[in-house]
Amino acid sequence: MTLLEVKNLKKYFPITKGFFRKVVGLVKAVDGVSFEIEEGETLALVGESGCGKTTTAKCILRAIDPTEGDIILRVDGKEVNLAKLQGEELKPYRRYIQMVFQNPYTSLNPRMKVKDIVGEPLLVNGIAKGKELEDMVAELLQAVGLRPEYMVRYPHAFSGGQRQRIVIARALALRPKLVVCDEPVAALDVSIRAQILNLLMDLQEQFKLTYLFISHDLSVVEHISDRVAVMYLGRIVELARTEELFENPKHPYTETLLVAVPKPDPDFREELRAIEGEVPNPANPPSGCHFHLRCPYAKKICEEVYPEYRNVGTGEEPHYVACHFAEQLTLRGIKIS
Amino acid sequence: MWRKKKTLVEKGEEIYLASEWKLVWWRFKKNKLAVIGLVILSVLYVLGIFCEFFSPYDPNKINSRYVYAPPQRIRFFHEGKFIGPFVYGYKVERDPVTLRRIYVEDKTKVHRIKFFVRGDKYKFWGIWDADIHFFGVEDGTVFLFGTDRMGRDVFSRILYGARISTTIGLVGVFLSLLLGIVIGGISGYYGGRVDNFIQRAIEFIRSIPTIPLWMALAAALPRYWSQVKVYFAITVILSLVGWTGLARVVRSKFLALKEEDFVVAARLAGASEWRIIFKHMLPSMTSHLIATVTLAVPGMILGETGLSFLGLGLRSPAISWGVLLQEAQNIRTVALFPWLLLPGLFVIVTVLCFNFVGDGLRDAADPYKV
Amino acid sequence: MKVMEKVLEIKNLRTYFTLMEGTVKAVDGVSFEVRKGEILGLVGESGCGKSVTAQSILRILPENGRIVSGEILLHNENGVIDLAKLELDSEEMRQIRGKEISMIFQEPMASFSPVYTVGAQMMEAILLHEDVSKAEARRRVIEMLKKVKIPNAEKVVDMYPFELSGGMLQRCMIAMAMSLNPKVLIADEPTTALDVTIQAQILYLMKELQKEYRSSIVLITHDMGVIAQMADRVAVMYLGIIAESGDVYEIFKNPLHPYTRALLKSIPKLGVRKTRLEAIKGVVPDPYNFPSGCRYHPRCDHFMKGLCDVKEPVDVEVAPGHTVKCFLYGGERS
Repeated sequence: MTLLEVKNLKKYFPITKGFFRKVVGLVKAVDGVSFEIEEGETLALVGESGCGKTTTAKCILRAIDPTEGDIILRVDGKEVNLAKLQGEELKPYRRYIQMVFQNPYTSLNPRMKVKDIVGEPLLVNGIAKGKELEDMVAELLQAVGLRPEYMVRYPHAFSGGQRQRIVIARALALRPKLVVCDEPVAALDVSIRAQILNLLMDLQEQFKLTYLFISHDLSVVEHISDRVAVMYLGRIVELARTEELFENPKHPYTETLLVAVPKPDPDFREELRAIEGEVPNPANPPSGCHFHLRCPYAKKICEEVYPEYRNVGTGEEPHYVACHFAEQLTLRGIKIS
Repeated sequence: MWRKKKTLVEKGEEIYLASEWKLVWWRFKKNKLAVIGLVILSVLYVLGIFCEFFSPYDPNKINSRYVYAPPQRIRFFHEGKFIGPFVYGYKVERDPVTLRRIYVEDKTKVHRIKFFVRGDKYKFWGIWDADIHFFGVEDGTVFLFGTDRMGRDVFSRILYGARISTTIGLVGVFLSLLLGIVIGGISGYYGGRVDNFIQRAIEFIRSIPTIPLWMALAAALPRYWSQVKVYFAITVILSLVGWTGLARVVRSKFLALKEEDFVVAARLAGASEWRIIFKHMLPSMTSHLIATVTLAVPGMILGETGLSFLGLGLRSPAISWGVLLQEAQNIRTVALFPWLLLPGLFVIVTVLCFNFVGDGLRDAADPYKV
Repeated sequence: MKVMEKVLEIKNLRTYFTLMEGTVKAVDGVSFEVRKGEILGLVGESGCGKSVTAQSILRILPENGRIVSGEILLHNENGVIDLAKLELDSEEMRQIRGKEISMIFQEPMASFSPVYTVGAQMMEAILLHEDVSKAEARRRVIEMLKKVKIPNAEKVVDMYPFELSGGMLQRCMIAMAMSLNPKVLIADEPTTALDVTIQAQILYLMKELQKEYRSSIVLITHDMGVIAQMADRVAVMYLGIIAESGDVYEIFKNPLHPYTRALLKSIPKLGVRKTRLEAIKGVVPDPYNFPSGCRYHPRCDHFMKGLCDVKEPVDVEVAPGHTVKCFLYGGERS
């Protein structure tokens, strides 16, 4: 069953100038993004900085107002378009979508005790208070692998990994359907990352969670997600099941990303080859296909026309891609064992 | 040492459970200068608040016998024998050349300093009648800082002045803070056009030269106003300019905190705007605000002193350090009766201490920054 | 295996910091050598002391840090100099910084002053160390910028740091560091702040330049992938000590220290799907409160009670050039 459907989502940020804040341009941070998330799955949004993955997530969370498009949430047999709701109208739906932040040092209020942090969602939604609240917080802490007696401590008593567990506990407090994880392990120590990734996978099973997992790290994404959407300059350029996308990439940008990841194996040294160019300024994207300036396979048409985003896969193995030559090119993927 | 030294584990646990204020205090304590400043300020404020009790005389009592008398030194040994604190009496002589009165210590007159003695009657805080003073002498005089042109005790006058001068800064800053938080908060929280308008208004106010503005406003105060009215009018005038700086601090904090992850998290959890502001945003800036406010107080104190010194602020018979300095405003004083400039020393010490404490607080204000 | 010429030798370096909470032994007895023309990878998590080691070598420690003991020996034409003995701001030290040993940092934006053009800052470095004319220095800067593959080098030389992207600035940083042809280049997390495609470009560039100049690079990173791709030899650090060091193939194909093994197992690898990762248990300890004995013992799967928590293990050479600090490989009877 589809839990969330994003249709033609757009978010433009105006560039203003001068005393009267005249709008002189637009940054198309998200420019027509569409995807669906099935209940219980993990969809990953992958891309480099400035590709719009975090802005997409913020729109879905309604931390910001989308410029255009629909965000349709299906819960408890109801269907609601979050993009059309404002302020107080959003409140009853907030509890279904929660977030795990990238930086566990800024996402916990340092002036509140752990029990007040984790208990806040329960308190403000009138779910529990007093002794009952404390019991629920203890339960949540246990679920994320922290000792309940730590709830009287302040966040500064905890290391990065433990803080991230607290953040996860808070996100779970309202029993959400969808959890948006924005680079949840990028700020953590290498030896701690595996703990948190395992925890997220365990909790998904235990609480029947659906994840929208945002990351720049393909190896992490490969581990945790069922399907992957690759973004470049505000648009999805490729979307497919994880194995399919990694073994059989159809977009040259995906191939570039896969090549660029430094593999922790000295046998793969020769892979490190020159990659062309930098991510262009999103305020002034290139004509035609945004990637053509860096693409080793670019032809004349790529400079002129933005390629259609279409399914080049089969019915049961859909593979969406926006490249003029997706059918012709054979790109190098990574064999998954 | 009778107290057991805390083990490392206990110390760690204490840090884990420590609230923000404890952490701030631990860091503040490390700054010796700030702690000294805090102690001195506390003493000054206690003296100021209870000035009727601590001053040995009524500050307006005129002693025509002792005009421009120099400070009397506190001594402990009389003829080589310890007899507790006392002062020698004055012997008045005439300078044979200038015919000016000069005061010499009379070693035969011993006036012992007693504590909790009865003396001039006063109304404590304008409410209760009393006549107990912290210290005094039963016969003779004790002028620790000398007397002025009407023979009034300078020490008592400085303590009475402390009450007005030190509190005017606090009250003024409090008013500024109120204005600053409300206006700066609106500006930072709502942003957009409101923010733009408020910021331009603040820039306009700040572009007006302060001293002439104060002078113009102070000169407009009716002469017949009572001391209390003038006092409050002056604080309002001082804070009219002072709030702009605080409003800017509050605004920038609000802007920064609005994007902070934990504020976003609270919003996503469904917390009301009210709760977000009062539970998350304001507490996050309190320690910074206290530091900023502490650093703003000396400006207010100097402002009052300056205005009164120019004769535009409080006026005699009101007593403030500025008024006292205004009375000492001539070259004769500087040359012959330097003790009349002691209020200036108090101003300097107070301002310095506030700056030390403010610096210490500012450094300790954010205990979560590594 | 031919023995290569040593360029830099660190012997038993200890660098401590004084903090409110106590003394932090950030680097606590670290020894390694850098050979001519090699890339030495220093890998470890935050707080393991890898950056402090670099700061100690260049003597650019923060004020509350000091070198307590040890030697930092720089081998050059005039013999051997112990940098640990030099005055912080001595003429000699200043000559060594930049000319003999230079450094590139994680944040290229913070390493350049925002008020001068990139070219002016690069020229200053050359003029400081060499007696050349301004025109000559400018010519060399442009040449270096071309070498690091900056398009429009003639234009970029007159640009301010904020006009350039992070990747471009990191290229400038590398050009500046290489412009005096130093013996040793210390790169402290040079690509951590960059996107993955830009990271690949910078790593590729560093490798090309290193081949051309035959300089030695100390590459500091937390990323095992970067190490595997770049380094000739690797030193794995944990809480101020080197747990294991050796040839890059040895470390990745035959890791011996339980920490190295666990670290390599715990990182997600491309090509392996949706399995549970083998996480390292526990947390990284407080820096001012290290565990007794072997610092890794509370997290170790091979913990031997009464030994690992009591005695500090010493280096054991298990194969030529491959040393490991662990009682599993002997050394307890020393």
